Amino acid sequence: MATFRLKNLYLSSLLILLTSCAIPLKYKLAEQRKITSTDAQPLVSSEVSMLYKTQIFLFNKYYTGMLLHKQTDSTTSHLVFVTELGMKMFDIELKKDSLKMVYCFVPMNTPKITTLLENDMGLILLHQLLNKTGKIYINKKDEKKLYITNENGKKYFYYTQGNSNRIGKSLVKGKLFTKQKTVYKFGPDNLPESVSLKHKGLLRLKIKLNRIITTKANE
Amino acid sequence: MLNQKLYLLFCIFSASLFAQTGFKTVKDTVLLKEKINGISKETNSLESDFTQVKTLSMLSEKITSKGHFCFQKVNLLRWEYVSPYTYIIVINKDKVLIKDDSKLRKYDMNSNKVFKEINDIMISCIDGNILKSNKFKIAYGENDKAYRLELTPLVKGMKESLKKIYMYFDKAVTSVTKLEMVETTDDFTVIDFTNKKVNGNIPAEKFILK
Repeated sequence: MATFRLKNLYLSSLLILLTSCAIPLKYKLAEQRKITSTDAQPLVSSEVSMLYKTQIFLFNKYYTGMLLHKQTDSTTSHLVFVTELGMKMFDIELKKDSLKMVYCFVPMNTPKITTLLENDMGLILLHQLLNKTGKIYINKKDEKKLYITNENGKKYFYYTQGNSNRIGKSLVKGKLFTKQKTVYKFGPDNLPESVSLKHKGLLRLKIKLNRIITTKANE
Repeated sequence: MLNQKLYLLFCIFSASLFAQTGFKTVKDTVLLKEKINGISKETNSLESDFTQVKTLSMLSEKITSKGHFCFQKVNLLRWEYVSPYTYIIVINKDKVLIKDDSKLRKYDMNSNKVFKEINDIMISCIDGNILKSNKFKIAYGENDKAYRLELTPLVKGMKESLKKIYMYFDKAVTSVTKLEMVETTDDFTVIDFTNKKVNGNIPAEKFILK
């Protein structure tokens, strides 16, 4: 009986290993090259500031507030998270290929948390995709594209929405299991209306963003 | 000649601007403290609308929120944001209740140091008890329209995030008209209180969230 259970465990582990690393069968490799903003539309605009109602579930803590993205010069932009009461929680500086936490409020300011936030914000903003060399797969049925890049032993899967260049979903996979899943929904202006990122497994971290459209009336 | 005229105009403009915004040190601080202590004793409840503007200095960006505020002695506080989205935070003695997206969350005030600190500052600013606090160095200023208390944090934990808190009172010293919190990063939050109702009847349900 024990041997049977052990066999089952080995088999199911092997199955998980195979399926978690697999590329969906309907996708065929088209080419391998640098992924540009023509392939995948950047999620922030250099023209307008963007404001998101934000919920961050981090371990056993829950933070809410507003996340602002603003371009400060041609190569730099910032992501700033402010609570409803006006307290700035973090400020991440974004350059073309890098992210740096330039301010983090004391209760959140631990290396583990700041690294996690930097990585997740980078993931949301497609930092592991844009300007990186990756494989481009195409779904012959609906022309959806799948971009795959590798970085630091992780595989990044980005699925487009139909045959557009908008990323609808991304997955990060480690050697064995899926680590993170991000889902994007777009508004009529072609910018993300909502974003949700979830870590799978033991790490309890979830980020939800919902765009706030500021009008003269609510300013 | 034209330059001289322009210079004169500039001087007049600057002087009038300074008169409006510049604060000089209050000579009779004892009297002002008595008036502020008077608010503390006489204010049992306070209701008002508020406009909160968060200025992110480095980004030259402002985030504006609006809502309604209620305070009831002792230690009952409600901030209800209606714009840019609905968000209610109620402090009921040692409980913190937050309603967001129709979800209700409850916290014990003592389990969250940050909440406790923010709550203590907010309530003591509103009821005037801040003067008795040993957590700040206080400087008293005035201009022709308002009194201004400049609070400099003295305690560790607060000094790292807050550089100054400014409290503004009308010249009759009836209540706080404006609060300004300046962070160490030079970002600042200004809360303007309007349509104030002092010692009105606030239903107890306002401080309960279900």
